[in-house]
Amino acid sequence: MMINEYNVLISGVGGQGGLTLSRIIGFAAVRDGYKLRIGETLGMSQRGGSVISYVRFGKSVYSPIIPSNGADLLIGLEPMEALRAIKYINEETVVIINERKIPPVVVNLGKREYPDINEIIDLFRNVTNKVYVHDFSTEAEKLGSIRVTNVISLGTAYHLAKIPLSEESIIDSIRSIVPEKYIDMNLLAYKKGKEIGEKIISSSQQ
Amino acid sequence: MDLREILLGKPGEKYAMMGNEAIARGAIESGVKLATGYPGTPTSEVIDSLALVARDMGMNVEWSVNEKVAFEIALGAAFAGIRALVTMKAPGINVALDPIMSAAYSGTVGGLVILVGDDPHPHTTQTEQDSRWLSQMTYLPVVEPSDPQEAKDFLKMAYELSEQFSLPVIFRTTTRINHTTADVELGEIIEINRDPYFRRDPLRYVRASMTGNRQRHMWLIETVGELRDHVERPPFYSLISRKNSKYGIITSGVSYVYLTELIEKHQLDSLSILKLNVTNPLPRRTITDFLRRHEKVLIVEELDPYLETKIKKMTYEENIDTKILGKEEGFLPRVDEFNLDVVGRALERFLGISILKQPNNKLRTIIEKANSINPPRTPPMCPGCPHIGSYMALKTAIRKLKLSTDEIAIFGDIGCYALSFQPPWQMIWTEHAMGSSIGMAIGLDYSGSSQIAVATIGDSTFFHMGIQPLIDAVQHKRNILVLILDNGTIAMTGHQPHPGSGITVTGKKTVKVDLEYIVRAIGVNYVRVVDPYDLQEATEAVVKALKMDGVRVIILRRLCAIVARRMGLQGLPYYVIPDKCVGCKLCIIRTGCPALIWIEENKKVKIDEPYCFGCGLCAEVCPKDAIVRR
Ligand code: SF4
Ligand code: SF4
Repeated sequence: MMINEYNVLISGVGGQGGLTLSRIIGFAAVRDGYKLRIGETLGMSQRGGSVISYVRFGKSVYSPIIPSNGADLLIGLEPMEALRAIKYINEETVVIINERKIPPVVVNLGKREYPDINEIIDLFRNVTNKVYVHDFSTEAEKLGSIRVTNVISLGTAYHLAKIPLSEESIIDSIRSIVPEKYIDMNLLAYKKGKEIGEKIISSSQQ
Repeated sequence: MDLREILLGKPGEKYAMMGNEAIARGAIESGVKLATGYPGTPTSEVIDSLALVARDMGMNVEWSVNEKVAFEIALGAAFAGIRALVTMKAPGINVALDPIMSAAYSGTVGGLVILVGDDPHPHTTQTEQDSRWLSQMTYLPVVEPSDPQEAKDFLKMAYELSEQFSLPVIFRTTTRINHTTADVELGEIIEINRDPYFRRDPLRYVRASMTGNRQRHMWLIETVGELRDHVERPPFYSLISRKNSKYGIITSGVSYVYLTELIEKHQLDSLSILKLNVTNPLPRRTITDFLRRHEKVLIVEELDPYLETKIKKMTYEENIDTKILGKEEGFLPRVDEFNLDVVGRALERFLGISILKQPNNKLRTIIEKANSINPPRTPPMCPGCPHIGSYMALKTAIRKLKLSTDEIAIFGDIGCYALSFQPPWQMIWTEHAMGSSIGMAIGLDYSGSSQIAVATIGDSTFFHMGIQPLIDAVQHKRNILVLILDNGTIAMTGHQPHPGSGITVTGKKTVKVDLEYIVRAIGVNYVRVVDPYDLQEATEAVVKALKMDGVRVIILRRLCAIVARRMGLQGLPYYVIPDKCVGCKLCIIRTGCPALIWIEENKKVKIDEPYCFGCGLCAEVCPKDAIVRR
């Protein structure tokens, strides 16, 4: 069944692989026959700045940017950056947050404090009850590289949010976007992410 | 499937493509044989993409030394009859404007398209320049796509217009088109086989002929008149006309996609839309007909009231009393880019309806709370960035000479090093246009101020437009210190090669133009080349130069850390010995390196080792020798 519109917002720090993630989802959407729009907001630096990307697919998407409160799924690869995207969520949004903090320069300099992680989570929970927090970075390190943090979180998000795309398309997309030598590790990462998602569901049902 | 294969795909195939990749495919489909440009967000990926297929397509592709040169190269090729493309960001078209103005009089033979990427918001540009205004001075046609598919398709249309009317065409995009990825269907690749040949015609091409200039001006006015009639039909505009609609919208560019989505979603079936794909010259009959059929018309365009001004003038000339609403009536802003919310609010007010969900108070409080506790993440310089070392040397030298920072005016330039205006570095005082740092430093010296004038400029920026002001400084014996931050690449726009890189965009090895020789040849008497990782030597060079008179140049040479990392050239990471660290934070304050992380729990610094480049700069400033190499 063709859906009208599905909106994913990915926020993180430049270098975390958020843009790659948006391309993986986007390519899968085109493979599944959807119209696609990916918008991105990057700053001036090559790495280390705030990066937001918007992935929209469905029958009637035109704008490359998600409207306020319009996200179906928010993947926050870093807690502060997840919080920066809070205006895009609504009561139904599935929110996946990677717990690993990357403090910005103002925090390291001692000019500002890194917001309390529990306070961040509470703010999200005040809006939606589908908030899932996990340390995907540590899982990635266990698999051999912090760089697959993005794909692990995708696996979890796919499972928890039921992204309306076929799994073959996502796998196919990972294969075609990730550099040859990292494909296996990324497929493993995706699987790991799914397992995490399954665990979260089964523990919440107990 | 890699990008090269996608770019060479078959007609009818559909891929997720970024706007700039779609434009590159558009150039391939149009039979472009030469593509030039200077890197600049948001258009850089067009040349980067074309470089991948240059050999397959028999196309010449180059990053030129600046936009003026890029345009002139494309123009020379177009005079010989081939199709050429030149790409730039908005400030780049200002640099190229001189030859563009003359070229409007000469006209072109082969199709010539100037791609210019404006940047509403702005995301990465000095100003929110609306380049469409340049068409009023140059008379040149302007084509405006609204999404990646159109960006590809309209490029073909632009080449046809260019050849039919012998005029260069301005192809104007905005960041939201260049950097949007969308499903794009590929079209036919046209085969163009022409024998390139430049026919001599002095009256047409020699602007020294004043008779010729008047003639060509008349020719230009006449040609644009013919073009105006020509664009009075689709596909130069598209009209969605609804019966008995009282309200109409005139729009162009990316604004159209927000309108389409809102109209479809909220079934605003009573609205007619006139979307202009060519925004110079405007199809006067089409527009005035449209105005006459509606009571009220809203003009929806980003940035300046360009269409609005021109259309309001038409109503005066044609005695039309339709109410025209837009920016001057406060329906839409001139600043920032549009989105569904901004356009939605304008529609609500225009139609007297309510379509947007109002965020409830609870959500609003949550968002406010989130914003108040969330610190900004200003873009940092990368771990191991050689610019960090360069600015540390300058700062240390100022401190060593016991000068106050107010006495050293640091003129900055365009590039990653402009980020040094932020804490903790707080270095550059200005950043204006490519190469401006040196000219402005000369000006301060002339002013009679007792301050020491320092210019800091990157290598590519120096090649682009920094050589000329340095010549000026030497000729007039001014007192300035110039630091050339030579990292071997055009870093900020994605590491494109420049004349000093020794390589071309298509990966061919070539001559390395030597900065040092250029500087010496100009006649600068104090020239030093130092390594910005060697804080001691670099500082010593700056101290010496600050004490001297005349034009002094220090080249701080070290490969960009990202390029070096890609080549596997990073050093072993550093780490902090916790027992030795006293938590003074000097390492963080002096370097601003994002791999140094403050751990609040034990009040010590820790290094994110996979992120650390191993430059050793933090170790050089730690007073307790707590930072050591792995
Ligand atoms: S400069 Fe040295 S002592 Fe001071 S915080 Fe950094 S590592 Fe610790
Ligand atoms: S050595 Fe120090 S300054 Fe250099 S990259 Fe590593 S942490 Fe940053």
